[in-house]
Amino acid sequence: MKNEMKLRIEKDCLVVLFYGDVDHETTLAYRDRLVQAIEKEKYSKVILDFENVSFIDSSGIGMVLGRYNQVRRYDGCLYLSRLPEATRRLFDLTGLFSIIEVVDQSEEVINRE
Amino acid sequence: MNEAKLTFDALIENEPFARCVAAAFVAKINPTMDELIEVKTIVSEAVANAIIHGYENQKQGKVQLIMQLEDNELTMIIQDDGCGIENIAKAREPLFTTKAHLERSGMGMTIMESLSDDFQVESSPGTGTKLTIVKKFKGHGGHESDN
Repeated sequence: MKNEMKLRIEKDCLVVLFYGDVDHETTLAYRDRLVQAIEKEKYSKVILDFENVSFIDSSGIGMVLGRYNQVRRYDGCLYLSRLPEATRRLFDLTGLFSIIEVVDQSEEVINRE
Repeated sequence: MNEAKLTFDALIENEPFARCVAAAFVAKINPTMDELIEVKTIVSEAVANAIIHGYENQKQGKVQLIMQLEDNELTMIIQDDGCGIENIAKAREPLFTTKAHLERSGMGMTIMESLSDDFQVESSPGTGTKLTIVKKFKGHGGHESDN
């Protein structure tokens, strides 16, 4: 699977879809684009979708925490969506789930009032 | 025992290469998918630390990965000749990072330790860093049969 990050806008949400590997090399390539996209529109909800992620390491945790801090600065909310089991286990080691909500489908958040 | 040694340039683009080599090396003992992912994660964290912290992302220097497979036990030695670690105990603490501005999570060592059966760090400033990591495979076990 090709390593890729796609951005989709739905209502007041930015949905970020990751494909392939989320590692130190790819997160470095994604970070500036993602930071700028969020900073420009200040979406009230940012959803990171991991369904198509085949590999993830601690750089993914750094990226999630970075975006969590970024959206919190303007009172936005960050969500994690469709976590594969390996991603869920890695995130669980960090205690991410005590501060960030995980949803099974991005639509749950998009359609939330 | 079966041993393999791999030396490569300290470039972050070699991180996926190193973890795929490790996965290929252990494939013949039929690890479970979870165990394979764990080996790849450990190698990724170790190699990234060598490149980003050991060599400070300077794109010079070499990283060595030695793998020794004996029965269902894999020993991985990952070493660099970089700047070394001043305080190993501190470096092993969860969420500790010297590079927060690069959005490093400070979880690399915690992840390696929690996914391995034994995790040793040898390092001092100026002498590089050597990680020795043991991973035991409980999954399918044994060698592939011809059936």
